[in-house]
Amino acid sequence: MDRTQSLVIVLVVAAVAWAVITLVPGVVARAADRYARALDLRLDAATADDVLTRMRPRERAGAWAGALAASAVAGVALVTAAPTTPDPWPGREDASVLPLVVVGAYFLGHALGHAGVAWAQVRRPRPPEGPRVARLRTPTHADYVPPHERWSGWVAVGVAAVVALVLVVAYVLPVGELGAFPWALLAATLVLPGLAMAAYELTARRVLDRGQVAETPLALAWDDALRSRMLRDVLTAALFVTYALPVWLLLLVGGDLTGGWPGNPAVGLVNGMLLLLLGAGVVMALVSAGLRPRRHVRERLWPAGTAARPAESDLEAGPAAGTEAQR
Amino acid sequence: MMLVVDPTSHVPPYEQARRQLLALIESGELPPGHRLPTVRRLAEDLGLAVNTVARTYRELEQEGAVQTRGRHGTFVAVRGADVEREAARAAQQYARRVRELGVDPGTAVRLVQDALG
Repeated sequence: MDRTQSLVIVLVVAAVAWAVITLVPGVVARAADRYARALDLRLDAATADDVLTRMRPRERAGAWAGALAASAVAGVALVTAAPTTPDPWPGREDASVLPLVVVGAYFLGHALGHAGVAWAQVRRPRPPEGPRVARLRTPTHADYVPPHERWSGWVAVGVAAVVALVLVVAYVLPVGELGAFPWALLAATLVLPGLAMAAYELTARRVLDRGQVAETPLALAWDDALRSRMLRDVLTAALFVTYALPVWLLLLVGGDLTGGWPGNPAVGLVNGMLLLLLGAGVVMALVSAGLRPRRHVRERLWPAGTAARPAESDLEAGPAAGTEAQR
Repeated sequence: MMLVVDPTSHVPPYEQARRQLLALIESGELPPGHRLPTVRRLAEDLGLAVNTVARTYRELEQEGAVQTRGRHGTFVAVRGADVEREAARAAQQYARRVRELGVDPGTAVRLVQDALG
């Protein structure tokens, strides 16, 4: 067993272990506590009950779907790479991208599982009695997802297309010696990122069209928070597809290059684009972390001023008594 | 801004919604031109029948508190002092445009009078 296969097995074991851990009572409650603190949103006993009823199946479905997808992809890849079966890409050093594919499958599975349950919960029955609250402004997509995250997805779609087209031009001209070309992956890099982001936009539109069931302003604030969490999860999966495909493509093409720069200009072109892409990814991740995207929904829909209203005064985070009680 | 409707109250839901909306409009918390949620969306959020919310909006429209602009939605109406302020803004836009076109003030005033009939 080589290092790549060992890493893939470690990743799958970690994904399955995390899925099992989400079944332990109190784990999701602690996640809800952390989310409450990150958002500076109170989670009292009455609200915690409802929040955990919704969060538990979402987190578990996400973790299990992610683990299942990662295991399936890893299983297929490891079996087809076994010595008894023919190498699907003879001569290629494609094994090095396998961990990336497994992580991508985990993200996709997680987003699908989480969003699927969240979607089903949108139609949860409304309590027959008691007061109901509604906001007098219909929230928009921009209220739930920070603009830099949403637009960076579309920028990444453009970047993926540019990478694919540059490689096609380099192959046709030709620029250096590119060797055998992974046309199927190139076509996927051109088409799938756009489809992934379009699917995200469609999901977001459908979710935002739905009404919000809430009995108190705090319950509405939590509904907003969970909506934001779900949309950002789906966007992360779409972003991963959008970002990972051109990286995978460049790694595959780069792995098949012969000679070095400047003898083979294709080496400079492919490795240059790969470095730019990896650098941009790191910068984007750092910028995003600095902008505290989890708090975006709180600042947009429930800014500090709204807590001055008597009915909303309990929004501010205090000890998450509700979740403590759940453990 | 929140709307709270209690179905157990002796006041009918449409009336609860109407009173709260009117109070918010009169206090200025809902400014003129503010777009209200669609009838369907508000009904879904409050767990009311679409007709109940439609009745609330209809009564507010009859009172001149809101305006329905076809498919664009329902908006808080411009009333009283707001009307003058909006008219002044429109007049400033008109003045700026006729200045750009090089129309002399006398002609510009005559054109307004003609337009007003």
